[in-house]
Amino acid sequence: MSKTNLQVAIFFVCQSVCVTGWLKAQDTASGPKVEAPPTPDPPPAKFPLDVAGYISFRALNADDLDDHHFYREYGGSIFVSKKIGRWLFHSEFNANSASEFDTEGIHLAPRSPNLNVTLETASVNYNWHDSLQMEAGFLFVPTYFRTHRYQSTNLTVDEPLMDQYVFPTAFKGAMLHGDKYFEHGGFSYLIYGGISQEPEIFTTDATSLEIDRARAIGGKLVVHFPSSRFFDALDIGYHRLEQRFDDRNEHLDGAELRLEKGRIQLLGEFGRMSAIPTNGQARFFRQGYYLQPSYRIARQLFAVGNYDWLNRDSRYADESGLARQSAGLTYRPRPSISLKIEADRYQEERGRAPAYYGASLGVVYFFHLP
Amino acid sequence: MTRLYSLGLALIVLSALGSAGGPREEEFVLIVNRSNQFDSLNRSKIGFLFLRKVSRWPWGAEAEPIDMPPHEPARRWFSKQVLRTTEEQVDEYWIDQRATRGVNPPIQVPSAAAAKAMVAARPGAIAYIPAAAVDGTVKVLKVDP
Repeated sequence: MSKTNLQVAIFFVCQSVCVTGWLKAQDTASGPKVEAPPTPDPPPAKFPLDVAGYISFRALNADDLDDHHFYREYGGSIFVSKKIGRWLFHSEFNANSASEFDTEGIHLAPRSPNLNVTLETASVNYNWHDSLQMEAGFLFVPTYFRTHRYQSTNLTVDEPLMDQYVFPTAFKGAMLHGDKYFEHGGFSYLIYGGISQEPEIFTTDATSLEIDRARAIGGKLVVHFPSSRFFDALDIGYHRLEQRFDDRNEHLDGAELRLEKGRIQLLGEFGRMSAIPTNGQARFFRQGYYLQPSYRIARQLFAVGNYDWLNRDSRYADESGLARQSAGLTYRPRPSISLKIEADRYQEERGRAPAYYGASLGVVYFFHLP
Repeated sequence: MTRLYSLGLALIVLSALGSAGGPREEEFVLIVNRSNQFDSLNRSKIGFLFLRKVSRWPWGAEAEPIDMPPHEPARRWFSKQVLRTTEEQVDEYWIDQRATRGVNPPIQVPSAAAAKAMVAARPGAIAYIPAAAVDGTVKVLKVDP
């Protein structure tokens, strides 16, 4: 059985389990019933699956149009979930028109230059307790931005440079995770393992990224500091991942920060990958970080800044360094609608090449079935 | 001069009468099922329940938070006084949670009567309603700071 067939088979098994579970729940619901007091205004009938999603349009423009810093993207994601007792089934489908930059997901249709349809995640989660849960399937590697990267959630138009380039994007496997909250504050942990996938940088054709797979095991701890006197939220996390490729081993370390105080929010992430080739070649590394402060100017208007830096491969240090500074505004007339505009400045090759400038625009609409 | 004093005194009396007889701010309370083991809970733990960061009560019953429709005075009170945030920020939080965790916002009911009936019927339910609507079918949960 080929790898693609296996992936499709896993997907259909997940969906079958989901539907079977739902039918079983319906059977149980039709069994003996406990008399409940009459409810004056019962909630309206719901669709049997929880369906939400968003559609978005992004346009990124920069001075170096010959390179890959200009594109328009029409995209959309659908999230399908179902909770049955302690089980939660969740999957995400994505379609977008700029497939050359998309390295995630299992392709549900043959990749074409103008359309990319993928299954981004498909998982089943069992909750023994909030502090002990198990999730299995096709999952995102749990860096902060990877798991909150949605256009409907973010204030920026574009992803941080380090997203996709330091930590792998996704993995097939299982994860033990949980959250523990005390009177104030708490912590969250994740321990995961499986087969990870990430884009292979510096292939001969820069617009067609290859996917590199490895055996991976990792963990992450996020402390939610009891900081209500000083901050509304202060989360600090550490992430460690080990990967085994055919030709090298990789050690990855990551740190993340989320701070909120009134109208101010600060997000930040750092990631570093150290590679140790097993074929006698020299060691190399990738690393990057971003800092993203934002300020809620008014109820519906945000100002957001972003400072990004990435070294995609230390073997090509002179040509792989890229820094970006962005400043933008996001207007949300309703929480489900986002209109974003931002100005970007890019600086390549450690400042030896002249900086170039760009502008980005984003329009997003989030929806859900009743 | 005496006339000025009299006018001042009249204004003070009128303003006192006005404030005593004017519309008072409605009071709201949190309610839980009568079988709930808690009589009081601190504000941050109530927040964890409503934001579904905690899915079960300590004795195992599934937590079922119940919301009122947007812009209702009770919901505004709850967002501001208990969650210490705004309705918009809560809506933004749920947009994120639906995508990242597949977790849905609390059930929304159209009225305080519906919220009360649901809390009376479900052991893990928790809701907020006007204090005047409370009766013996539910228990009031005190909010600790």
